[in-house]
Amino acid sequence: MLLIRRIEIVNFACFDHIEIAPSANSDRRLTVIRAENGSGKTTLLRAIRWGMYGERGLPGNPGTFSLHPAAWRPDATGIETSVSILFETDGSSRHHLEGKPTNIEYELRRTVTTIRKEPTSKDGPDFQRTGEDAQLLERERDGSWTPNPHGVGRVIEELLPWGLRDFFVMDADEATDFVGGSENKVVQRRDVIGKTSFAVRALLGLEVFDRAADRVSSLRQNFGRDATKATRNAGLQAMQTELDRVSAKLAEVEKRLEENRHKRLDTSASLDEARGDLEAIIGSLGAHDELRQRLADNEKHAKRANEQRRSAAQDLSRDLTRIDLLASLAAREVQHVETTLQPLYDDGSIPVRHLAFVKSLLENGMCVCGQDLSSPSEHTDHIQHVIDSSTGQAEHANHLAETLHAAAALCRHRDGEEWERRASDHAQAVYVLNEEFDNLAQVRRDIDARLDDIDDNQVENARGHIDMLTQSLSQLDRQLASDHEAQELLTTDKNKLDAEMRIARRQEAEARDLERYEETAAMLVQILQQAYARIQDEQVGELSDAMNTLFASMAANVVDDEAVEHNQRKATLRMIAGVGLQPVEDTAAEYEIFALNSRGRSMPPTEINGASRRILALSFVLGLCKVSRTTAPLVADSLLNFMSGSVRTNTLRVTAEAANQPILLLTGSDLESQNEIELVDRYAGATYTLTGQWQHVDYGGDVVNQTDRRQVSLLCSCGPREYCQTCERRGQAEDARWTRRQGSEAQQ
Amino acid sequence: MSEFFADLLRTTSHGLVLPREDEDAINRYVAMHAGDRTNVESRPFPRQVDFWAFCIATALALKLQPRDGLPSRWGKAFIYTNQGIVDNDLASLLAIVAVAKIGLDDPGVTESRRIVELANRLAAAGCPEVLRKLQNSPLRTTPLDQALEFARSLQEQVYDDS
Repeated sequence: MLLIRRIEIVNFACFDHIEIAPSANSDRRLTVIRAENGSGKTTLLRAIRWGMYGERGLPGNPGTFSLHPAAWRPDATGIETSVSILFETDGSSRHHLEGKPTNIEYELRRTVTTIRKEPTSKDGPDFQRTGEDAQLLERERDGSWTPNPHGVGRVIEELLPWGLRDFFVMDADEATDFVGGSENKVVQRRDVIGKTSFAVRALLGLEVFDRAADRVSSLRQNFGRDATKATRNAGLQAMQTELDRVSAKLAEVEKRLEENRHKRLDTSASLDEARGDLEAIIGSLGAHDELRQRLADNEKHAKRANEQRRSAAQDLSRDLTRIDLLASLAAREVQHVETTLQPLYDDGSIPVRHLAFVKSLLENGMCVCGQDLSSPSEHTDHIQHVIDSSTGQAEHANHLAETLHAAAALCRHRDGEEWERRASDHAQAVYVLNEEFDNLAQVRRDIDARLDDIDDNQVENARGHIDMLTQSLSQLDRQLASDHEAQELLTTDKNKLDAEMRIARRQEAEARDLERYEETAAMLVQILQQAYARIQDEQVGELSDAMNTLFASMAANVVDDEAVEHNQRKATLRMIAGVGLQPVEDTAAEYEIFALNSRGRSMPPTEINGASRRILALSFVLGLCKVSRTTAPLVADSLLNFMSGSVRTNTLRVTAEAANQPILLLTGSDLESQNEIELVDRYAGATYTLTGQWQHVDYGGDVVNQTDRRQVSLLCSCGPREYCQTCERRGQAEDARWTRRQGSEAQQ
Repeated sequence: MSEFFADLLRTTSHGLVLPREDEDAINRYVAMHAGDRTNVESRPFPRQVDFWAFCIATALALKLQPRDGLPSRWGKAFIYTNQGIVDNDLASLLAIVAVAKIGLDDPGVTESRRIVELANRLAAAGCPEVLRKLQNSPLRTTPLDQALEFARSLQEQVYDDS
């Protein structure tokens, strides 16, 4: 167990001198340090990190980070900056839950002197740090302090390893590295796996097994080699040389396998990312292809509709040439002719019927009077004369008779009804087809517009990139398969050689003892590996369950808050149905955090929102501390950023309950709702407020009193709804929710 | 089927004539002449003879007097009857019109020359009306729509008269 008792910071950036005593009350373990944005929360976290880890605890390029309080002592030189952290352990560990009878108190004190210098580059620091010194003092039973004999670095690395800094001094933005980074930062999958695996293996103690198995394996090889030497058998010696060669080659293949596995992971991650990019560009490949297909179908339909429409229009055009139309327009003339000619027809004038009768007499050769007309006679000549003289009249009459027939035939078109009906049908068909054609044209415009939104070049580039990555992946798969095969062959060779050599050595009495040792070692390796696998399975499973429970606790009640929560965030949070930790495929010693959606599909980090990433990373940190029984402080900055409503409340509650010594740096807005205030009242054993003097009303801020003329940040003991002379802000005195804390002065 | 009137016109060659001054305007509305049979909406008449027949019907519906003067003086023949362009329906209608306009007692009423001449003069009388209607199409109304609409209005007018 490790708990921080006191943190003292002197002359560090905006801090003149502040002292924090985190809560040591086991019932009220929470410490809250409230500070508005820009009041020094992050600087406080950096000061603690610097105190613990020195230069590497500073952000970005530590060389350009200025510790010197330049804002309020710009001209001073030779200022000593110091951070002291007083902490105690009870001697317990993950393996020995009960502490030793006596607690050990340590004071870690890091100091450095800053000297002003001319900047050597544009971004260079104005102040140079010299004489950095770190001391670790241990309190003796008599109360005196003596330097720890093992040195600062070793003890701190033992107690608070740098690789596990997020478990002790957490910047929530950095902690999201465990889940692929925050919304503003993308971390490569290999780095995520490396960081996660290191934490899991270190805190669960898995690396101990690994190291032990490697060590015993090495011993086993040495025993075997010594046994071979002991036989003094030349053949066996040659076999040993071959075995060493095969072992070296096997190690080489295994190393290459490992490298290629990592490369495959990276390529696979890049492929996922490229596919994600492509999906972002066009919604989805399927959608793009579907649009293209719809466009082709639309063109086909439009062509058919256009042909039908053209055919219908031609029908309409032909209507203009129909005789029923022309007859209806000439109805007056048609009727007139019919009316005029019909009586003539009726009385036999058209055609001239008596002439036809006379002709028939001549043809028959017999007149009505009984005279023979078959031979020439006067009577016959007379009849022939009558016929000849009437020829022109007959033709005229025939023409009129034909005209009458035609007029009678056309008369039925007089009202034009038939034409009108047919033309209307054709016009309706054209109208319908026009509508269809217009609709199809509109659909086409819509599809074109959607396709226009998709940048073809981008799509082609993304597809090209995906093809390239797919090829790389397939090449790596082939290489991995080939290496696997080589590994199997070499392992077989090695085992065969091992077996042959054991048989040969068995013949040699001198080798027996060593052989037994080797066999024992081999068994031990096996036992260790089995134990390792079992512990790994159990502990990782336990950790996975713990994470899932913690995550669910923090994301719980989201459904109930429909009235106040933003719908989109709620939906996104609900989308995560389960979280946990899993071994990375194809490896046994690496792990990564996963999140599953309601359909059981693994969600890539890019699909998880800011709040979910934070609580997922926090679930991992708290879960791992719990499963590994790591009892240590958790100084966390920006933990509740991006969270609102019940998620924020739950996260605060779960952190207060699950962490051993949570020291949370929160803004006023993090503590805005009554829920958070009640949680702080219930769990907090210590509260502080940081106030930057540069936020005074005279400088455009809302701090009412300037209790220190310098540009420093002051610390007072005000709780989340208290104010004092130091931290009072505009409006607090008039607001019934705030109370003035009596009898306190700002610490400087 | 009797082809009495078609044969009458086919046996002798008479030119079907439209006003020379309207030649370009007419051709804008005839599909075959433009070699464009697809765009019937802007060229509603398949052939010149169809336009010619429509003009005759228009003149009759509007009771227009046949154009004065010899057609050879103001017109241009676009085809000849001996080419068989006039079918029996149209030929019989022309014969009826001739009887109605010339009178059944006139010996010339049965002559193809007189029948065609009267038809040409009536076509020349109706042609400006048809062109005016087609040329004044409202926006988004095609010449085909306009011609059909004109035909309907003429039908109504004739129907009302009778």
